[in-house]
Amino acid sequence: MSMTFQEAGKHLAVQTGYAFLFFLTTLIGIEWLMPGSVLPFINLIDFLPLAIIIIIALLTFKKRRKGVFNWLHIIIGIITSLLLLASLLTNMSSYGFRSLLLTISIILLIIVWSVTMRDINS
Amino acid sequence: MLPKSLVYLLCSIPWILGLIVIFFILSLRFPINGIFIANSDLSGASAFIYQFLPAERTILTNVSEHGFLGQRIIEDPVYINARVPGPYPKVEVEMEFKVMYQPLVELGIIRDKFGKQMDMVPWYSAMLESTDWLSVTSPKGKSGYIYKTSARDRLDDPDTRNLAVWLATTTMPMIADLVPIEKITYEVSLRGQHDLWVVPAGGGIDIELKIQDVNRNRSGGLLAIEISKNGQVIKYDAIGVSGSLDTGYSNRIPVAIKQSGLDPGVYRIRLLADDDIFIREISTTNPRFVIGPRLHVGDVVGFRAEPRPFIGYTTARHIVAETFHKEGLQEIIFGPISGKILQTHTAVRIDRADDIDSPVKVIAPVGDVRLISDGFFALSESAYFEPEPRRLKPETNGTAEGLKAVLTDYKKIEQLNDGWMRAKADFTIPESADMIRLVLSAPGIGSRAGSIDIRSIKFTYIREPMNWKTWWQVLYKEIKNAWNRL
Repeated sequence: MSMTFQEAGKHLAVQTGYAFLFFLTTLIGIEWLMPGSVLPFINLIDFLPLAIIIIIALLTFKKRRKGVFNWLHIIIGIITSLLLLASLLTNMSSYGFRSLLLTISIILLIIVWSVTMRDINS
Repeated sequence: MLPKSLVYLLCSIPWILGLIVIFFILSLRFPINGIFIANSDLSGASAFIYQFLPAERTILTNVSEHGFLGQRIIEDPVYINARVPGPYPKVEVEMEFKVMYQPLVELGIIRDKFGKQMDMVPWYSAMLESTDWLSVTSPKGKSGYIYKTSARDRLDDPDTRNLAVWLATTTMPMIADLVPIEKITYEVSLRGQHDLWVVPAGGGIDIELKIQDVNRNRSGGLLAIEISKNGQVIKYDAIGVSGSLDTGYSNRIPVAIKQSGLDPGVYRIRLLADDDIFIREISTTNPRFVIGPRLHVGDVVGFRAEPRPFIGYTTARHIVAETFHKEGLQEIIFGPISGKILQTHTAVRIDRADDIDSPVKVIAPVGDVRLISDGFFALSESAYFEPEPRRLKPETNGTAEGLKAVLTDYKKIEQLNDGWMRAKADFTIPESADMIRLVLSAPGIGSRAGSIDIRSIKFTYIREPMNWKTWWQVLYKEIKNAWNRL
């Protein structure tokens, strides 16, 4: 009835991630249901990039399964990565050649990751 | 190695922290002590208080250019919306402001979605802020202000001379004339809606109007008549004015307004009609009756060959005259002074500051003018009486006009540095309202090129303090209301 430090740390990190996502979703739900209940006190928008990073991290360490679940894994990964990219782009101060290259690099990384993830099905 | 129970305990910590944060935010939104405060500097950053609108009547100010951050009001009226943060029955509104060439300001809350029902409260009066005016409560419990040389019981005196009223309810004097007089007929040309105020004679009202619909292009003009006393309606009637086959002006239709067995008092007869309905003649056996504060003398085109002057009597101190036709350009005689109307659709203010207490003559030599005053108009000097004290207006000059007392609930405001002032007022919030709309009225601010600078506004929503049980009930009710709104 005991765990290694590594397992315990992994559990704590995963639970912290889920708790954060639950807390954020609940607050968004309250604000949606009763406008003006949350946003005047806490700016939820600031937490969105962090929430996306947490989702990606949770997906990364999630044990992969064959079939539909793997496709679901890939689709969620693409959507969250694109959301993160969009939130970063909206905060970009200027749009130039460098930012274009960075954006293209991130999109290529997402594609490479998705293609690599497909292998479990083959 | 770590025991599993300890790991589970550690894993529950982020969940507990998240729940505490959610609970803390909900307690800010639904405070246990029942008081929720929303502040705004009118920069548009507040989630609960919006900016004054319409935008063309205000200026958004900044520190570098105007010396303060907020809004400047340059036209009247303006309104502000505020989001109600839950089920609160009452709100206290506090504002820090500064006025320039604006001696009187009123604030009100809109009670219906059409914006017709408003509860206005006195907000600022330069005259009553003077040390010459003392805030008192009369022996009979009436609130108001008296001039420093007057006695407190002046507020209880039913004599309306030298008395003004500002957004306070007044009971009309219990007066009556013993016997009717021989019927007097006044030839007039009053256009649209008017209020007649009558003292019953021999316990009755006997008025006959001759009305005419001048709209050739419609059928079925309507005149509604409402008789009330102290706000209580005692009769309501409606009369059709023209037939469906009329091709020209309608005939002059007699309308009899008769009531008998009336108690002493002042009776208000509201004549509700559009501007195409003219009253061409008024005949009455009641010795005392007046019209006002609005009087619209119509033209006589198509009815008489020559324009007809209007002659009335009033104790009003301020009138605003306006004509809508070129033929109506004229010089209005108002007691010892006069004012020229040189342009159509332009209001001309005529203010007198003499010490004449008795009614003075108002003459519009060619008629065709709309007059709005702070008093009432009689068609003969003997018919004049004051049904209620005159209204306090921005132009009212207390001492010069011989004013001794003002009936009002106005509270003196708090003076801050550099001419800034702070005022407060309480309003009840319409039930189940998500939003409230307040109206700030500064009569005549545009015409005198005045302004009201507002640098902060605070809404304090108040309800009964709660315990944990009622707190959950309020939260549940709010969530249920929110769900029903979806």
